[in-house]
Amino acid sequence: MNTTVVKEEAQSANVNEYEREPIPAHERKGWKSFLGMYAGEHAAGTELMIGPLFLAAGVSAFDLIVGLLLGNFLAVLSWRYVTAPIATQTRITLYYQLEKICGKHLVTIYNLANGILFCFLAGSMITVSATAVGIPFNMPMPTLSDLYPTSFVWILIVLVVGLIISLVAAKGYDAVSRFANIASPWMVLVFLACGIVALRQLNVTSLAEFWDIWGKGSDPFPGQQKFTFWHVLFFAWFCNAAMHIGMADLSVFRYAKKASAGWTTSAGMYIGHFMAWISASLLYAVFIQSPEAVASLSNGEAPPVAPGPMAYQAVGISGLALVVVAGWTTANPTIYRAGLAFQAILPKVSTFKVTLIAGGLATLAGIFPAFAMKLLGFVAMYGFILAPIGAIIFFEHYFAEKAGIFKNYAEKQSVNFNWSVLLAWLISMGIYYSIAETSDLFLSFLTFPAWITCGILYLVFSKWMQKR
Amino acid sequence: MIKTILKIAGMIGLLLTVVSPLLYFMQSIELELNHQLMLAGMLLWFLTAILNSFNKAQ
Repeated sequence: MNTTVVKEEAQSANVNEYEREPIPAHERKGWKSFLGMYAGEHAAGTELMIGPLFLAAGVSAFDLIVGLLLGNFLAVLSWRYVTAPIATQTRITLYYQLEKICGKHLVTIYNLANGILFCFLAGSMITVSATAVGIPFNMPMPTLSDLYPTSFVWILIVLVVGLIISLVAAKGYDAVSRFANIASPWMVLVFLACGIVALRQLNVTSLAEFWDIWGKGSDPFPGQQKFTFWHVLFFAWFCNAAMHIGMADLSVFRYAKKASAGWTTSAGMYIGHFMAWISASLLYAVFIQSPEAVASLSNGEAPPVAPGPMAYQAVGISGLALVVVAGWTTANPTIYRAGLAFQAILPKVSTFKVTLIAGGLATLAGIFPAFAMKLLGFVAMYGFILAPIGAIIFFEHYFAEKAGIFKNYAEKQSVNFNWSVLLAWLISMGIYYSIAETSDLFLSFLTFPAWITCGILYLVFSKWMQKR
Repeated sequence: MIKTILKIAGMIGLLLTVVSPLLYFMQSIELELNHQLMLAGMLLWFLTAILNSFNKAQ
């Protein structure tokens, strides 16, 4: 998962740089600045959950490898041709752009949605970290079907991990941000090391044996949804939908000299969302051969997915450190960003307090393993909810003149709430969420239709309302 | 001079992190030794990277 924007926004909030003005020419950066950032930022704690969940979904080798290759390529294309061109033309943050179109009050609603979703995401990262911290305490690990806390020790460990992460986010964001930058290259290599060690433990000596790990797929584990090629492709494409077609990364690429800097996202996609996911999947492939997992499966129960013990058995203490550091360095800015989002709603409350509130929510979410165990579904929903807002920006940027509507309507008319935006967002989400629920469809399949519909509805509603 | 030494030591740390699992994969070392070499690599990388950042700050 991507936390680039989270960190960048958080940093910019600290130093208050160009939040309400275009980036000047002398501050623009070449593509190399983005390459390292994206490569490191997508090797997060959540990758350790997503890889195993693919295996639990019974995905085949072809569907996984080719689905990830193509899905990630589509994500890169989305960054390059949807986000980066607008970012390098307008050179302002998503939030300022939205304020111009939607008005301050509607941006607050977007911030609230964003903040709550960030808390849940941070909660799943706390869950991942807790699986590593819990090893010395012999803590029973949550299984795929666990929705509620599994033991008192689990609750205690999540509370301690959550408290530390929240306090650090509230007090020492900058130090953790610097530590995250230091840890990035090492984390990427440990992900790779996990995969290499797991290959030996699976007795893989050839490409054919590697392919056979997933083979032609299998029935999903109890309680899991079966994943096909299309599930993998659309998940890889849209798990960061909020960042690319949702335009959150306008805030990042506004610094780029050229829109071609969008290609650098491929480093993040193919390191984090290809290599790291496959490595984590291999770790789980080793684990499900263990007597404990075999016993669970033969009883018709889903085995645990515990990144801590899986990484520890493969690469020792480095694995434990990977799980803790990857979870911590990504949960930290996520909580900080959620705090900033809440501060827009509670402007009189200090940053320290709102960050603690966000951390408290994230910790509460982390106590429930459901958010981590259902991460594929949650991440799909996260993209589905936030992506349509990007369509508003995209359609206004390219089609406002053709449609005969004013650009930046809220700014020009000094309105705080643009109903065209809210209606387009809610109706598009409502229609496609209902379709997903009634037809039992994976939500990522409907992210793009919802995005297109939201953009078209925005033009139609704006034409009608602006005339009035 | 110190900066160069720190950089080289850091690179060795990263190399240990990736070479020792490869050696384990090729059945040249045991899992336990792989764990120890990776731990050494981790400590080397973080120590040198943190010292380097202090150096830069000064």
